[in-house]
Amino acid sequence: MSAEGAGVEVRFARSVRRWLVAYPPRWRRVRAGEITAVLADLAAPGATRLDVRSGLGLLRAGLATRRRMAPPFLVRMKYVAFDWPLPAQYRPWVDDQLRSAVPGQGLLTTPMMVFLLWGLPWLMGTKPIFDLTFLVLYLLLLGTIASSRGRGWQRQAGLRHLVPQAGEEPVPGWYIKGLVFHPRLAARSGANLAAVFFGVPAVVAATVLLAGGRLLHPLLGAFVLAGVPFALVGPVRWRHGIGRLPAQPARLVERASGRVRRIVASWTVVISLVVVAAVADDHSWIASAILGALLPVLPWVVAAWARTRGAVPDELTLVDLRDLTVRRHVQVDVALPGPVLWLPGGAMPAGAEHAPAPSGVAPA
Amino acid sequence: MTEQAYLVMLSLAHGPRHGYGIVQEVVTLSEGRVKLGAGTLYGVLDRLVDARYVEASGEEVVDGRLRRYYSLTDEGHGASVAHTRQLAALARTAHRALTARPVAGTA
Repeated sequence: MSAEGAGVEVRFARSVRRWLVAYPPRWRRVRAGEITAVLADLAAPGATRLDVRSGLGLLRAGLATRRRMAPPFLVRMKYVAFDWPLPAQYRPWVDDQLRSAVPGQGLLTTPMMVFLLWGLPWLMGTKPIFDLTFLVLYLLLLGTIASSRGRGWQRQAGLRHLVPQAGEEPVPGWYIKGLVFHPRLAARSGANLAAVFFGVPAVVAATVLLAGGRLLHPLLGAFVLAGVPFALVGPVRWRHGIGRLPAQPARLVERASGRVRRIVASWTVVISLVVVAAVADDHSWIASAILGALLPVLPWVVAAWARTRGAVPDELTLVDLRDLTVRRHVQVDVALPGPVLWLPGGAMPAGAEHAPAPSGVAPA
Repeated sequence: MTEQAYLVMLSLAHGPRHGYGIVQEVVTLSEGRVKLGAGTLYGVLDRLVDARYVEASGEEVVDGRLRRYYSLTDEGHGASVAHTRQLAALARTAHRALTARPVAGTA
């Protein structure tokens, strides 16, 4: 039950939620409603916020709980540095890590990170890492990549780190390997994001190149022309295809969440800054290359964005628009293997690969 | 076992209680000396649950507020009894030590 649903004055519950920030996310999901009710009982009648002394007590206790639930340093390093699955008692901690906005584990283990941290500076040779502009862009890029973990990554990481390994008995109340919906971005929401992602850096690149006195390379015109046929064919095929979408029982159509919008915004800002910094540093070829990569897709993105301004079915996704443009028909998604919560007392989820355990203890 | 953990276990000796009920009972048992804050209470409860001395035993919503009840397990009851014996033995030893102290001026 959510804290607000616990029969507690809304402002008081909001105040408690802020003070609970030091607790691990999993602990908060399970206990927030309960502890909020206790704090409301302990507070003076009519209180609209938690008193500072109680709040500080929650911060202190939250940090202690976080320390207690975290694995020892060396065990933690196995996961953070080497991506090794940890013993079952630490899986709640790993679950919190996988759900966090910026998984620390990603900073060290992603091959891209290794390349950006050591390979790229080495390849660039003359560019000292202590250059302030470079360093700022570098850190922005690292942060953006680290926080750009999508649903697919969470699903794969969940299979590796959360579900019982071979020889382990699954337990009710915890994850088990099963089948999950295939998430897809709704067409309008996806087209909006694509327009921002492809449009803003392209406009920035063209503007700074022209403002810097660099002529746009004639090849860029060819890139635009390469994308125009898709922008012309797409709307024609959408006119016929959108009304005949196949049933998608394994698909989950979603609008972009705040997290996805933040990721796209971060990438847009980082790419635009790279373009500006490159032109300012007399490396306009970098800006031209980025512009060249964006231009072939941009006409189709603009066409998709314009189409989704009008009425479109709720079940239409951006991928469907792409499929209709390229293949004339929409692919039917299949359910994906992923971690599924086995509810205590419930039947084993569909697609689960383990036989039900006769009994078990749910992890804390 | 800390005094707070011991008092929380004693508060559950007569049956399951919810968080606020435990806080009140601890105040009574300690004659007003120990007043658990919510953060401290749940830290103690977490540790006792991990040690399997205490377990969650159902929940209900009262006046729109979530009440989760906790009860003492058999292991917890045994640990409480053992700790009480230790304290009682210590109290007897302390009593003997203090009564055997020579009165000033008589040595």
